[in-house]
Amino acid sequence: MSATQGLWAHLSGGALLWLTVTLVVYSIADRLSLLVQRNPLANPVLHSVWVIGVILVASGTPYKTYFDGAYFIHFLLGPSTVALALPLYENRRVVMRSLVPIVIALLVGSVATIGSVIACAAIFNLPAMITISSLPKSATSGVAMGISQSVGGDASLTAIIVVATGIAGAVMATPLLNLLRIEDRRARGFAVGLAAHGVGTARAFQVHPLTGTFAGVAMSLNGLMTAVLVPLAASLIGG
Amino acid sequence: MVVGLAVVLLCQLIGEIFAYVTHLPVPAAVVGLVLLFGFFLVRDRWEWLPFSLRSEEIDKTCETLVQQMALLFVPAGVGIVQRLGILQANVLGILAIIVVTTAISITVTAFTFRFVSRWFPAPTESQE
Repeated sequence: MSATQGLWAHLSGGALLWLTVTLVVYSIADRLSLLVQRNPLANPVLHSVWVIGVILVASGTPYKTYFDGAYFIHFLLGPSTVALALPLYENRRVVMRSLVPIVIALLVGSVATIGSVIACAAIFNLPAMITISSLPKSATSGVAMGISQSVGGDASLTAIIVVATGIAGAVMATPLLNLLRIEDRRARGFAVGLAAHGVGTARAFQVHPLTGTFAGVAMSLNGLMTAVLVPLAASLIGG
Repeated sequence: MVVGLAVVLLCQLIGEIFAYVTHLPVPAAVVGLVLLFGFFLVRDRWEWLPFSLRSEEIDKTCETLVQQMALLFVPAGVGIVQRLGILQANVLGILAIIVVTTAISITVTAFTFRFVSRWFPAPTESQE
């Protein structure tokens, strides 16, 4: 018994165990999602997050201990955003031909996202801290956490809301866009990438390479747009 | 893999330096993306780059990073265990922000894109 406890104490404090848990849980969630033909409800991020969350709570492991191990994965968020240059480069001609709709949809979509967050927060009377932390919710995690910090938000809360937004967007995108009768793959991809950043982009690439590319374009442009607009919005709320 | 990762990280590093020096509110990774895009443009036009920079390795690394992007959000998402109290206290409002504003965001963006592309139709539309 004490040997088991000793082993657990030895492993649970280190990076190896939590890195392995993250990869194993995600691999299983991803395989299950493949088994059900990538049904949006089987989103691998969604199911990995709650399964790992339950493991941490059940084993009494502090999040910080987990994150120290899983940080190796988290770190790759930045490089993966940089790597979006590849699909963008390969599809540069299609993207250039759609430049006008891209620029206008980016501006309108980004303002609508931030505006609707402020409206929602007012309706539900949310504390200013939550509102400010939610403003960059459609930007990709790494970018959003930086923005949140710079306007006095809670970066960890931002990360949770960002990931939840990504999951919600990835789950609802296909049925919602079908309901709205948007058939243009460029419009579908761009909308998902703008609203649901990397998680939505991953989902869009599952549907079609062109959809995925436009999602990636929207995600990177909206990272930039959010970085410009959120400080403005935050100063409006604050003052 | 090593050359690919080195090039990607280098782009991000230059992005980080750029953002720090200029104080512009641009995310380092987005600057890195623009730089890597520029690198691909240069690489496919000029022959004088050293062989390792012309290899397919960089493309393969990028492909892997893009394909596995969803996994990378898991560690940050698990952070929810740390903020259960504040989430529970404001559960309706936060759910509304997560679900409703995301639906608004997708809807407004998709309609704007479609509306504008009808006004500015792409020259020689070749939809795959």
